[in-house]
Amino acid sequence: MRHVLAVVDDAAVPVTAAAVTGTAEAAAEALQADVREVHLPAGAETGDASAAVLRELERPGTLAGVLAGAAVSPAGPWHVARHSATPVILVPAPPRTAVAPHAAISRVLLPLDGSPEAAAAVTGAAGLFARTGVDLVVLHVFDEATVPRFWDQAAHARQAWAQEFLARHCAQPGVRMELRRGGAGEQVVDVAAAEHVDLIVLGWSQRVEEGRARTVRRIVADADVPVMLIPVAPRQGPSP
Amino acid sequence: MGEPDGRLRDRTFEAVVIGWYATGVPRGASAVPVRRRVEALCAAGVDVAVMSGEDVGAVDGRLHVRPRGPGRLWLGASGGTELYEVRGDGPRPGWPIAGSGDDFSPDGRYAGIGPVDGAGSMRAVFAYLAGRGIGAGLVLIVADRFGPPGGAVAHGEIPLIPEAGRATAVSVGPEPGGVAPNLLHLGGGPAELLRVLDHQVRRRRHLRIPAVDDDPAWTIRETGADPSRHRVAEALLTLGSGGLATRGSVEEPVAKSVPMVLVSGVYTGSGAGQRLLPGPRWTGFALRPPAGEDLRMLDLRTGVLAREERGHDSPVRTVRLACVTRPGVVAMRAEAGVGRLRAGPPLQPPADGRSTTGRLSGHRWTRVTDGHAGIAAVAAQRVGRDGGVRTLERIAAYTAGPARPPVPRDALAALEAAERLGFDRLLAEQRAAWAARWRAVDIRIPGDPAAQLAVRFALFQLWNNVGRYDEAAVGARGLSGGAYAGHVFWDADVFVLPAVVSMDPAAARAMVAYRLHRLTAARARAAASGRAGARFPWESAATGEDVTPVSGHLGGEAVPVRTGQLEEHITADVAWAAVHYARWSGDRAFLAGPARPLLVETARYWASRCRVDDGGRAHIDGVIGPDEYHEAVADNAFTNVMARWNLRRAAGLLDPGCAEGRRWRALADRLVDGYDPVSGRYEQFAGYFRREPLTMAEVAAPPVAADLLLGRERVAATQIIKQPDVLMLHHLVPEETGAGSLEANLDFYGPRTAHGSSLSPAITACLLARAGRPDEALKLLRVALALDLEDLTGTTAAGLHLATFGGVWQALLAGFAGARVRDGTLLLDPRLPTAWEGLGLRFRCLGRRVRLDITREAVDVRTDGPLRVRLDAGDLRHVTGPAHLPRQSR
Repeated sequence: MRHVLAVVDDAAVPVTAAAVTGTAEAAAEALQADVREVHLPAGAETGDASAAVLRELERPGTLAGVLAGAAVSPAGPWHVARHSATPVILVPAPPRTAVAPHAAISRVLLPLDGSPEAAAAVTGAAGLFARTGVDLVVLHVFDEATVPRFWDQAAHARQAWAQEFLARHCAQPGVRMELRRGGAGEQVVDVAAAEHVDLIVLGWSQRVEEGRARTVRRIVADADVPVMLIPVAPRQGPSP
Repeated sequence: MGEPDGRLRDRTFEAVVIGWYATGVPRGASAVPVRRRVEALCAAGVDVAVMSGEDVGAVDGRLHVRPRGPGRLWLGASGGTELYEVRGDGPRPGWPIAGSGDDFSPDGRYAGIGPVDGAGSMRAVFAYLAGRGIGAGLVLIVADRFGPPGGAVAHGEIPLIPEAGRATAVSVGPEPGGVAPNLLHLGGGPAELLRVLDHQVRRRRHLRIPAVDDDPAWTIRETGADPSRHRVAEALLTLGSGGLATRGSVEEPVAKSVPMVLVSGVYTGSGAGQRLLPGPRWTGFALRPPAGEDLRMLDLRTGVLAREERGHDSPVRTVRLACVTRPGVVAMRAEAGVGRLRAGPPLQPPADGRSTTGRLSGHRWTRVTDGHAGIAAVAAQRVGRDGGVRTLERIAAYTAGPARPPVPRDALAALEAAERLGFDRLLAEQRAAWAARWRAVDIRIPGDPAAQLAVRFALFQLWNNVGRYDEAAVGARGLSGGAYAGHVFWDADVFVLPAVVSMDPAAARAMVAYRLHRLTAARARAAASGRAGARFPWESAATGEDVTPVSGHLGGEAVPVRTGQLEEHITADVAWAAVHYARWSGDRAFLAGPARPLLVETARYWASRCRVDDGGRAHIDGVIGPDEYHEAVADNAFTNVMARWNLRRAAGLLDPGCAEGRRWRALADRLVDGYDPVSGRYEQFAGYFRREPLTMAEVAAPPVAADLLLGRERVAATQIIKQPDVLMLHHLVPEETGAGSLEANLDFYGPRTAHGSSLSPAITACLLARAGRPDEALKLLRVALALDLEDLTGTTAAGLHLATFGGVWQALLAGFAGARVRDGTLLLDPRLPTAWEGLGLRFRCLGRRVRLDITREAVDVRTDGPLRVRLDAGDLRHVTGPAHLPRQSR
């Protein structure tokens, strides 16, 4: 049976625990799965707790694990996210807005940087969400690395560009596309708020050492909504 | 009967060369078995050459074939030194090719063979075949003894001449000493020869897939390995003719695929919503299981698109073409395992169009119409079987109505004529027609095969997308996709037309005719804005009214689109295109005749558009120049100078005593142009030099869409420009610019140019070459060459960038070769980049076919008639035929 794992830290403040279980229930509904709770007893060593959560995430049928997010540290939720082959949903802790604990996931933001790896990572999740009628919004942010080389006529260029971007990077029909300019992390957070999304889905490399995953860390730190981190399959062959 | 070796089994050849001794027919004996096969091959359209060391009488007496066509029979005799064509009345001596070395022999056939020796007849046959578009890869050579590759031949040996390098050479002899690596040794003697020939006859009779010559100098390949390329390939592999084009989508339904048939000038919708109407599709069939990885190959030399699946026992193979000689007629053959390929109906409606279907004289028709315009097709198909292979042959003919729904019956005669001819002969016609095109227009860049192929691709797609001769509405993406809605921009007039006029002057004239036929709408537009004359729209479609949308996006930012309102230079660009057509083609009567109203009315518009200040200086306020990063500017140098040129050029058409003409000249003299003779620079518009002096070195490496990166307002506050603006004057009307000002403006505006428009790299390359900076020019030319082939824009899938193709050819012709026409003289001023040792160009100019072979030391010019040529500003030369012109000044 497919399920979403709710990782409840008994030492956390109640509002955070409620946010985790609420998010897990909403995600389970959107993914047509059950919820399975696992409790981390108060006083447990962080390393032991992480190892236990990772074992739970490896269980067959686990679609995602929901944890209360925290600052990047060698252990804790980020440790789990870095080492889990199963997607992890990090819930803002404590919740930054008065989100109803059992709110449904009706709109999901899919930031895509244009890499095949990121697209491949979120494709499966996007498909699962689409099945239950979740509104999918794809976001691509232009920065120095991703800005197109050519933009011929403002009257026509976006349609051709966006159509092709979606064709290559997001197979779901009916997806809406948003384009922004600037820093990716900042724009994702802003668009998530402006579009009133309930969840952000990100593909990521699971590397958080210095200089890596800055965008992911920024989004998790600043977004008001849970962030689902999906491990990106390692690139075949040497990196360019 | 056993099947031949695998290298022969799946290949249908277009020509067969037979070594006579392989027949094993002794002197005095009859050659009935061979005769029957040769007769069957010729009847099936295969050209056959029989090569012998004996005299012609001895061979013909035994073979005694009297072909009735369509395939021809040649007899090479006396050890290859004699060649005869055999017709109904027997062998006729003579070479098929005039051997003068002049490519433009009086009958228009290819020439250029060398001295006659033991390989002379082989060279002549291969040259003849090349002239018919039959590359060596389509030739089968069967003999029992071969000479060494490229070496002298002994009596009875078949010479392996270099021209035959890609031919399939098969030995049926004993070959006791072994065979050359590229030779297929079957052995088996005369019996094997007959089996090989029988197999070819059988493949013809069973409608098997014809072969495509996989010559790397002429083929664009798409392996299908990269899924993100699939839709790009659909655009790249577009085939078109006569104003109708089919995207290169695979035949079976595939997710995300956008198959489309579009017709030039046939739009649906209204206002800014006008877009090209997709027509019925003709290439579809079902394939179960679906195809795996395949190789798709576009043969530029013959205008044929082929497909072959890899790694399957019964692979799907297809070949399709858009008939050059029969506009509106398309044809396809396909094959796959029985039970796997299901033909289905020959015509299918587009994904988003209303259609009706019916039958007509036993053929199925489909029509798509919006009630005002429409596209209809009538199709025939044959489904057959060859052992375990299902075969499909489909021919369709189209008719279209830009202003009324078409009648399917109008296409019936074309379909029936094509059917009577049959697929093989349609294909032969196609190959010959494309060979004729390439004899007239082509490029050779020794040592740079990638650039050569990319330029050929550009020429190929210009031919595919621009092919109507009544009037040609050439949209920004041609007929290769739905992007830009098929709207016609200045791309057509300034970028595509100058290329097309050097390829097919009649097609260029049709592009001008498109504008001429919409002069009434242009007059109405001018009147509506309180002006006189005619104002052409920034975006145009069916009627000539302005169809520019009023809103759009810069990335994710919704922006008002003001080009329709303000980008007025299009009016002068249209006039310039008419003049350029007349000047380059030598159509002297055109300007004083059909184009005169266009020149006069556009001048009237400018005369009414200018504002004269208290000091008597004339201005044009509130425009957008080619650099679209700066909007609503005053006195844009490009707009003003083009208007000035328009006024003066039109005044020249009026009676010298005409008061209106005098007023135009006086106004033109008063138009400010922002030129500073001290610095040699033009100020792009009033106040431009006061903008922040940012250069691209401080922003990002071009090409880049700087407006997306910096934002609209930020980029407008700087001197960063999207594409050549002032410099377009040096490209279009250099005679209107300050003497020697090209270099100064290149130095100034070059570092400020983002090249964020796909129009920019090729034209800048042209200007750099003319300025004596060919190495820099080549770098930008390579960007332009890769623009679609490597999908640099990320939007090629939605259509090819025709203006880039036109710019590429202009860069070669006007830039690197320095070819211009002035006063009926072809001016040449070549500038070769260091990486090129030479450059060969073929093109049309002043009613002649011209061939240039350029080196640093000399230019060899060949023409098919008298032509006035001036090289490097030297003496005027009257060239007729070949001329060697040494470089004088470099």
